[in-house]
Amino acid sequence: MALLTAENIQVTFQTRDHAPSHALRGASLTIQAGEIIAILGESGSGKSTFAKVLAGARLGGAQCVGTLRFKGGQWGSVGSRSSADVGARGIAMIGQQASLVLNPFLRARTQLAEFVQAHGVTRQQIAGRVHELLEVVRLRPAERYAAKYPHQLSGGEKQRLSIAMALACGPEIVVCDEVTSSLDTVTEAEILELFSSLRAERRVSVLWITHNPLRVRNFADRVAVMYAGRFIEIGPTANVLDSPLHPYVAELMRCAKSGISVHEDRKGARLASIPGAAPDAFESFAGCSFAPRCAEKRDTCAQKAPENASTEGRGEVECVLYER
Amino acid sequence: MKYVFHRIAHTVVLLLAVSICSFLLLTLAPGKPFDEMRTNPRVSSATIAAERTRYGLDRPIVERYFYWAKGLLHGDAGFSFSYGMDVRSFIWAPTRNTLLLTITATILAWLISIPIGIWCATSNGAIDRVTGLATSLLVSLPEPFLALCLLYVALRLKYTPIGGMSSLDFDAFSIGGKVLDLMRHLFLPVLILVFAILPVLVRHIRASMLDVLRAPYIEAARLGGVRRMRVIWRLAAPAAANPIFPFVGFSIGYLLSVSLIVEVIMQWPGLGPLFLESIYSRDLFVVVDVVLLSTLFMVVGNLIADLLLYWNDPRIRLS
Repeated sequence: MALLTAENIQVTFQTRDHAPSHALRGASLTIQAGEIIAILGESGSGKSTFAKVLAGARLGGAQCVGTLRFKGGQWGSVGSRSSADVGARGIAMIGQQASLVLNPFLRARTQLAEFVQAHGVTRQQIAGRVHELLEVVRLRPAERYAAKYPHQLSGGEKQRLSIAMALACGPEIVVCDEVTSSLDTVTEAEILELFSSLRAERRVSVLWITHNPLRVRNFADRVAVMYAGRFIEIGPTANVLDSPLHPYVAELMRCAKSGISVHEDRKGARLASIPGAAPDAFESFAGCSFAPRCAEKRDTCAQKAPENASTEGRGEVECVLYER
Repeated sequence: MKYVFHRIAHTVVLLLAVSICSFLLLTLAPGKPFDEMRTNPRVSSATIAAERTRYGLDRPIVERYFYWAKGLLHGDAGFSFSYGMDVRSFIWAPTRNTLLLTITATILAWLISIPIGIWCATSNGAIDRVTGLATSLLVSLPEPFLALCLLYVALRLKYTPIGGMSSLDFDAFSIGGKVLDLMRHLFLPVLILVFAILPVLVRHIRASMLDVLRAPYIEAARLGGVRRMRVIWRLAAPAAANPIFPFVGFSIGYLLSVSLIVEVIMQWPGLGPLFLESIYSRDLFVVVDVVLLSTLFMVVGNLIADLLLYWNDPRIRLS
């Protein structure tokens, strides 16, 4: 049984001077226990909004439609859940800028204690649990880091502390929204390794949102690629990265790989990019959202939305090329 | 510690500047001490000149200032021409009365405005709108008008005394009776002062709290399942307090200036009536001393605000 199933999640922001802005247009994803899924996509494709929906974060009065099932039990409409449900049911979220989620006025141990205390830990157990969490995220020696304020920590240490705070509620799923994008390569590798061990030791599922497809090769079990508010391809990491099915994903991987192979070309060679621009959230379309930019488009692509097609052993894809 | 010394040094420089300015302005202002004696035909101009020489008023202004400042350093606050005695011998009682009024009002105003401000920030809807309307109304009322309105209400209700600081038979009361009598007399002037500052404090506390409640670390705590009351009081309150601390100094200064008016209206024997009287009679040293005392209170208020900020914010404390 899947740990979490998100079905047809739609998020629409109503604006006064514009048409409705569609951040998510029917995103569906299933997460298994102990699984690491990387979510890829361009800026504005809806990755962060999807993360917020799962974590129960405030979406500024947006209209949310869709269904979430946690361990088979239905949570109902995504807009109706309270944040307390999320904390209690075990989904934690970690954001891009750790310094923003750390309270600058409180020591690390006080912040962690507040999170720990909220999840049924007795007063006598708090100090031990705080120590354990700091050890888990490798902020050692824990006693020294427990007494520090956020401004006394480096970027990587702050991110580790924010991970400890997320783990304080004993989550079964951790949603990481571009957690390492502001960190150096070495610290990024350490954080990835930390999540791998968390998965191995605690069977925590991780939803890893990133811009960098190449970084997740040895980290994620599956990769889900988002475009214009929908998942257009979900499959095993090696398949999606090396032999993608969807034309957009193929282009995306070509761009990602061109970034590292550009030195092989002559000086002045241009980095690869996808022609055209991704549709903005105000746009409405009847057919495939990628059709205007697609080199392999068919006559029906602009009129008919593609259906979700399962391919044997290679995951799911939304493209007419694979419809039967 | 360096921070504290820096602030104290700053305070000394400020007091020096204020004393020079007030001394200079009052000396240069039209009218001089003993001028009212000129209207008395029985006092000769030679007598007036002798009086002026006696008190050193014929000396150059710089010399007079240094003479007064030197005396102040030795605890001598100058001489009152109207009272015919040293200022220090009678200024303590009105100072104590003004401080009693101002400090009581400041503490009460903060104690009332903190829960109201937080309540408004955390409860959406009718409560916030009604409080917003009430504070807008209160903030637009001039303090003397507010004082007269409350005085009128007190006059009709006849529950509290409407003037003075004690009853006529105050000396006959027991200690408990004296405290009760003082509290009854304090009630109305304190109420006026609290009403004067309350809307300003409530609005700032509300705005600061709203700002902090939108911060990502508060959202993270909410998502982490931390209970609402813990989020408000343990996580948001210290952060929201930071921009509020400067208002501690402001509230003391503001209430002190309003109390000077209220004291005159309510016949409270504080610095207000003394200040007004001294200006009318060109009692130079009394005016300068009262100005200096008021500055000192304001500076102490700001110092308290700075120390609170220093204590609350680890980024300042540990930098």
